[in-house]
Amino acid sequence: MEILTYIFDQWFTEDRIYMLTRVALLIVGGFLLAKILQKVAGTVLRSRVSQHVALLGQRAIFYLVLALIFVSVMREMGFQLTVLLGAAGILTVAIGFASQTSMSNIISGVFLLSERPFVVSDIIRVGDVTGEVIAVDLLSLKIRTFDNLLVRIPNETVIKSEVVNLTHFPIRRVDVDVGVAYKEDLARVRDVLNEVAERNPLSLANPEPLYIFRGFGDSSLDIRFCVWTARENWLELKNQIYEEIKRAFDEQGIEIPFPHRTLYAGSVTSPMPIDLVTGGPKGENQQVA
Amino acid sequence: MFAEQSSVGEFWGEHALDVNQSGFWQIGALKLWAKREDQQWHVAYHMDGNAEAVSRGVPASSSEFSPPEDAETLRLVYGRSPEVIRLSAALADRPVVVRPETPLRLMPREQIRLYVCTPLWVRVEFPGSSCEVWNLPAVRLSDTWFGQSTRMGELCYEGRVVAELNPDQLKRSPFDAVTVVMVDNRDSKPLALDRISLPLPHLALLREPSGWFWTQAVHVKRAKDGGIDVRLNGKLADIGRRLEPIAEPRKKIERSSARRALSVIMG
Repeated sequence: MEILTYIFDQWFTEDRIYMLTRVALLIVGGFLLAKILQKVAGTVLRSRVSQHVALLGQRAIFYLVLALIFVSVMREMGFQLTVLLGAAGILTVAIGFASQTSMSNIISGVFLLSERPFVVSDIIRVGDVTGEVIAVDLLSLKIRTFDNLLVRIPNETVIKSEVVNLTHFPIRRVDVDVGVAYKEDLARVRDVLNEVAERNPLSLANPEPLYIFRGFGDSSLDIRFCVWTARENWLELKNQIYEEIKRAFDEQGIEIPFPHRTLYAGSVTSPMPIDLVTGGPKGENQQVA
Repeated sequence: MFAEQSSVGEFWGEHALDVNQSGFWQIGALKLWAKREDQQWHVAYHMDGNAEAVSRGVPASSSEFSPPEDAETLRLVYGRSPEVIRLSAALADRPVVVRPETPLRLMPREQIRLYVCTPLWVRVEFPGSSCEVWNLPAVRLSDTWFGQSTRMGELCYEGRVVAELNPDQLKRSPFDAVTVVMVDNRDSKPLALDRISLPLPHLALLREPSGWFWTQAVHVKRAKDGGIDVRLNGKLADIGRRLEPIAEPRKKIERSSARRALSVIMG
């Protein structure tokens, strides 16, 4: 017990207690200052730059203030900064070798930031993942998919991959592939399709719908009908236009054919005669000759 | 110039309902239902698909609160429900594109007046509360894009918009507003008027004592060097009618951006 009292008296001198108080104040005050500066930076930056640049700016300011606090605390505690920085230099080299991937991601993040192929809240597709960008961080891109999953994609992967931004331009095109029977009059089909687009208020009158005849398919005349819409209405129009085309074709008696298969067993094959006998129980009295 | 009709404004303004009383209004393709209870208002609206079939407004008449199943409905709850519901007119929230049936060319050193008729929007609100319940078109116009390419331009409306050179030929409904577009071509080449984007969100809405609606006029001048200058006129004195302002423009144009905002009126 006496030993403990002796150590306590020796170590917790008046100077030390004063120093520890200052360190504690520095840490608490510094953390509060970092948070306040982060908020202020967010407010100022959001009105001037894009959302994700503002986010990065906020984070940079927060960590910079924390680094300054760390250095000040070290100085208060009597560490020599020159020695510390020398050690940090050696450590940096060691860490650099060990963290090539992280560095690559950070540099990729900087390129993403300068190139700006997308911003926070854009809907993008990277590989098989489609969703809303919720953050572009130092090391990775975070996407919320439409089934509400968080997907983290390293920045390096994003730089190397093909990225499709689905919401970059204010209008988008819905491509509808439809086939009609060989007996149909294509001019009439075209008129019906144009009327369907004209009646739908979400379909843009300009640019006008595009009609493309794609060729003679196995079972149908293949057509691609393209209508434009505001990007936020894309899914709604896509659902509506298929329904409306089907309804209009039914009303106009235009046939959307099923795949046809013709059995052929050689040049001399005559058509297969089929006799159907009705009236008996299922499976009985039915003959195919 | 236009036939006077005293009943055109019957559905605009404040409508007082007693507790457990219902109201029904039809304005263009828009049908509105409202019912007042002691502590709440039930409101509903429905847009008829075919705007042309109901191109004339039907004045207000009381009936039961029986909107169709696919109508948009809302309940607004209060400590004590307000006595009146207000239906006020507004202009469209996007520019409206006017496209003549046949392409139009204004010959050199000529000026014309185009009278353009566009459907109004309806603000549904309760006096005393600062928030509006709905802001709905009397006729649903089709979306369109107005710009040089699919990358640059603006989303607009297009559809049931009538433009005439002679105001007497203009057939308008009580839920329409007329904009006078004065086009002055001082260039030595004809001016193509294939598509005009009317900047309705930047225009104020005005009303005659008889109830017909007008907007601020738009002046388009093509100078000798081919440059287009667009100005919005605050008054319509030269129409020969006494007009009172009904609604401020939805969007104010900053002086610095006025030229840029209005320069894309012709396409």
